[in-house]
Amino acid sequence: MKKILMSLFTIAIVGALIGGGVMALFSDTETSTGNTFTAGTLDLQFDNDPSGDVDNWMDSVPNYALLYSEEINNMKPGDWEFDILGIKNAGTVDGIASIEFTNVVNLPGTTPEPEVIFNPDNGELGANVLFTIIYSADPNGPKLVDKISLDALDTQGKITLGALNAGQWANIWISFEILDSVGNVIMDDNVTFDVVFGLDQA
Amino acid sequence: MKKILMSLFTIAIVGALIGGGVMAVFTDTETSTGNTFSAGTLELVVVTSGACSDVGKVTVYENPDGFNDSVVFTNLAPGDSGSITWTITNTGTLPGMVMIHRTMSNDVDGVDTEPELLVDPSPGAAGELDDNMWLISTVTIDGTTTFSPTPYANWMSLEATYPDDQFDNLPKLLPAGSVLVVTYNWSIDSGVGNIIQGDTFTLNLEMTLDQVTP
Repeated sequence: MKKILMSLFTIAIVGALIGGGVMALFSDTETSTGNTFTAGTLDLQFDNDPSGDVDNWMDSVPNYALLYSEEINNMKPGDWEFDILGIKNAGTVDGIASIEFTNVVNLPGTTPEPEVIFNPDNGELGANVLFTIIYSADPNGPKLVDKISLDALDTQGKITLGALNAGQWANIWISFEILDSVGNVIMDDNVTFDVVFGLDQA
Repeated sequence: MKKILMSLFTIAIVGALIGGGVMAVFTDTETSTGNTFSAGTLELVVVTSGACSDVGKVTVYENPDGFNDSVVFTNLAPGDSGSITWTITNTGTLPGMVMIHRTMSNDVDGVDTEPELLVDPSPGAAGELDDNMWLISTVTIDGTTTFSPTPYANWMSLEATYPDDQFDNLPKLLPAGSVLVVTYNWSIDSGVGNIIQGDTFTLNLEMTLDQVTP
């Protein structure tokens, strides 16, 4: 009986040693955690302070601008208006600013007697309102982008203004005038159009 | 009494002579010293590197053996591409079975800009950067691919959902001195648009080398 017990004890000891050996095999572990991917941002904003004295950036064209769904009535040869819009790249990725004139629709309105000689009256205001676009961004200073009629702008598609890097701000000068030499052909004509301001990743 | 003393003396002398005779028998001795037991070693050394099409957007944190390495990409945009390479060497003297466990964490929308909010149906939820990042992964041991026939090529967001063995065909034997190279080549879809703006996610790899069971 004593021999049997000794044998069992020996088996138990050997089993424990073998078990301990398995648990203690060599091993090495290395980590590479925290590999991070983060996208940048690109956000075109407008200065909502007409004076330009205060930083008050917003995500839409400010309603003080003439180009903000504004109706300009009773225009005549020699009239001239302008907007200066402050824009900013509020993102972290450099961008290219652009402007696009679309959906230009000319309507003849009434055709008063002085205009009758130009019949047919198809609405000629768009062809005779001259837009000047100037883009000014540091460090390049003011740059003439375009000086062209509204009808011609409608065919230009997206017009590049210039670089607008991350965090940078710039001014867009947009003036429109009706030349003195136009004459009666635009009487009571009206034109509607949309302006799309863009900022694309550089 | 004198006789007794003489007898004892004689016995002592004879005994001494006999003893001298025993000391002079043939003999030989051999030694086996310096029998040495030395344990082998099993050690992984990982060197991590990273690259980006815009070099200003990548930072590599390569640390000494035993410390965590990482690669951080920031300010990413549509059209960007890059890579992470982990060079994993068994610098020990024993072969081991190598395996890699991958997880993804911190998959969030991050900064929500106005352009992103216009197109993101679930702002504040998981980010979309990993959903729009294409990943091609290669895994080689001593220059031979572990894949047959093709490597992983799918969206990054699915990377962590693949079982480890299906993703990289590991574990495999990594002999002493052998090198396992894992490379992630990634690119952001140039047509993805604003939905990824400010998004972020993190990849984590744990590389283990286990002694081959006797």
